[in-house]
Amino acid sequence: MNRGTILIYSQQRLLATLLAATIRDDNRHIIYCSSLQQLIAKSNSLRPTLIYIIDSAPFMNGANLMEMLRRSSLHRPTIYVITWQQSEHTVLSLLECGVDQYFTFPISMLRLRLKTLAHDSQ
Amino acid sequence: MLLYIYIIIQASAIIGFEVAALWQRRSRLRQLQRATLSDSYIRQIIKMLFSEECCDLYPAADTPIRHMALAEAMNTILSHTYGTNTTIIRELTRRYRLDTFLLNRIRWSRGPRRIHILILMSAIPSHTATTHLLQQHLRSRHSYTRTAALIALLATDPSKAIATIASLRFDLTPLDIARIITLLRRGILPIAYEPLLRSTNRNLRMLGLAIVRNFGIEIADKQLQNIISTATDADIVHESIYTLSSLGRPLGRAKVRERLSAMTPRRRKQLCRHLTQAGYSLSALRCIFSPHETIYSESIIKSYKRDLVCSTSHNIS
Amino acid sequence: MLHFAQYIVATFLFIISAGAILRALRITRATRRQRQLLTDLAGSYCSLGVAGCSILCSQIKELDHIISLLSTEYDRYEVIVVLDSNLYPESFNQILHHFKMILVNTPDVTELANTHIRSLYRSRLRCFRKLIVIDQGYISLYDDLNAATTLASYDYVIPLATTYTLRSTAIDNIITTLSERDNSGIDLIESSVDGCVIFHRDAIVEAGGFSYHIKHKIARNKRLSINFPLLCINHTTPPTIYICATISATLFIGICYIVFDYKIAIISILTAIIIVVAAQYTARSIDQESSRDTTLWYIFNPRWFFCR
Repeated sequence: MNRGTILIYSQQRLLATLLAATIRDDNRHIIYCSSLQQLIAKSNSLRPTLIYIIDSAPFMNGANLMEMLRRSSLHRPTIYVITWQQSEHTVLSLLECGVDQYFTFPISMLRLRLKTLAHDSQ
Repeated sequence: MLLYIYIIIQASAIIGFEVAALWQRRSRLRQLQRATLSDSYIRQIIKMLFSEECCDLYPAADTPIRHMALAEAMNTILSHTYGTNTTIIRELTRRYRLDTFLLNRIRWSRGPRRIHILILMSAIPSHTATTHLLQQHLRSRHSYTRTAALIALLATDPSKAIATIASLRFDLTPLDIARIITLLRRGILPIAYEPLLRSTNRNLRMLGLAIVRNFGIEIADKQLQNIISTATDADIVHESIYTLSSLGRPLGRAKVRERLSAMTPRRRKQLCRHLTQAGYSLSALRCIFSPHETIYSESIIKSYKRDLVCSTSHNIS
Repeated sequence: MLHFAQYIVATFLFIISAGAILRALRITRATRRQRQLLTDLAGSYCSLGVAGCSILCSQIKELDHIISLLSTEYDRYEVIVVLDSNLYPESFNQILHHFKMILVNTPDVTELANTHIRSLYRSRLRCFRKLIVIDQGYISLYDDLNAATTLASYDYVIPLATTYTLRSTAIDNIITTLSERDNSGIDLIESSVDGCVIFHRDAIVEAGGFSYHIKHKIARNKRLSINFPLLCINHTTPPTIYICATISATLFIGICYIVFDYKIAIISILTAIIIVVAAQYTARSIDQESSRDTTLWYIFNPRWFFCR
């Protein structure tokens, strides 16, 4: 069963690898993006089911990342954000922007894998 | 003669800079190589963690670069996750003698490199024999080295964490405390906040206050009030007041106001600014500060709103 | 007499080259240490407590610049932009529209005199709550900074003029510096690399506001110098600077050769080479590349809008 494409954006390669290895599955295609421009281009061309973003700043600086990722009305990828920031303002801001789920580091690898599996089965 | 000495020294300095520039380029290439290896090791280790089976790594970690890459891969995994099964990590550490390698490296390295290796030690499960060496670095002249050694020591022997912090000869800075809190978030340190708040040791008390603030422990309200009333250390009182404010608790009680009045005008002003930012109402601030001190707060709080009533009433008249 | 003067000149040149070498080593060491510290600190920022800073921007009208200033995860900082809507109406409206800003109440009473804020804007969206826009008629840079200071919520302020950009790690570096020691007595933190200055808000108010001589009003024992950069270098040095520098150096070397002898000329050539090589090494350590502009910048380190 093809579980679709997942994009991961992180400025740190090792973190993206950690995440990719955690949610790895033979039927899933995982692509790493090192820049926001690359992420937006891949999102529009590959139409991933899920996007992991390991940074909260792109949603809070006016870069309009959410609009760019969900520009097409036919495709609405699920967006999960993982970051260290735990303040209430940050969490509420991200949810207000339209982020579907917010995780904080340190993460439980098993829980993240189950979460991704649960998303696939929806 | 002196002029020739100057010429030789200057020429040597120029050659030294060129060699340093070449060394920089080489070390950047080595860093890239290490990053690629760490990438591969992370994938392999996570696969082992999920399959609960320890296998040999490929390529085997038998050179210094590969040892460092493996240590960095383990550090990345353990510092960003919790609840990880450390049996596999311990087995890999034992199989590739990673702790021995890092201990030898610490001996021969200096400056930022030594600090980095000490931080890597905090992720590698190692035997308690390393605590003696780490204790030595705890007495270093450099504050970064001391902090890195402290973090490594706390991670190596978490059961003695409180005793280790209590025996420190230096005061913990906010940055040091933040790093200890990060260890707490990983679930490594079995520390409760109550004995820390009751302790007379400055470092333990500051750590206890940081735990209350970071984890939003509202039931610590009474203990914080006690500390504000009874503590003699001005820094502890200051930190307790900020911690109480982070919980959104009222600060208008008599004891708290008494302590606030003993603060310098600048500190009071800073606190007023902090409380305004934290969302305290003007009436709450007026209980604690004088009308003159709350002028700034009034203008900031007002700047979050927009008056529409004035314009409407003008229209009616 | 000439013999004696020869030794004086040679020693002077030697001291200059030693100074250039020490500066390069100091900056490189501090930058490397800070870079390693930021990597090892992953995740500790959110537990750092109450350290915060306000970035005060005067007449910054490019959206990209404001976006880059807001691109830090650290929670306790804000960006206050002072812009004259009469001088730049299009840019002003573009910023208001992009960040969904709404008009809010302007303060009646301010701590600093000579602030004539026309209007104040905050965003209606929570995610842009760190941005404040002040509409004030432009008189001088210092007036803009004073207006921004009156609305700053955090203890430390960083003034920025339109030509300067903060590095992506600047806020993290500043917060780390503020948190790694007890800075309760520090009113001014200055980067010896690029001259970026961070002031304590109350020190500015006590000094009566920003001015060209603000640094003279702050006691020396309340200053802290840091040896890593906070600003991006985005100047293009005009060609006349290269030509003037080359001609001056050549003339100096020629005079040394004519007046003294070949040994002094060699020492002056070596001094010039050391200054250039040290600047290149510094630039490469900081940005991992060195261009002609950055090298010249590290050599001449131009004056900033606060006097030394």
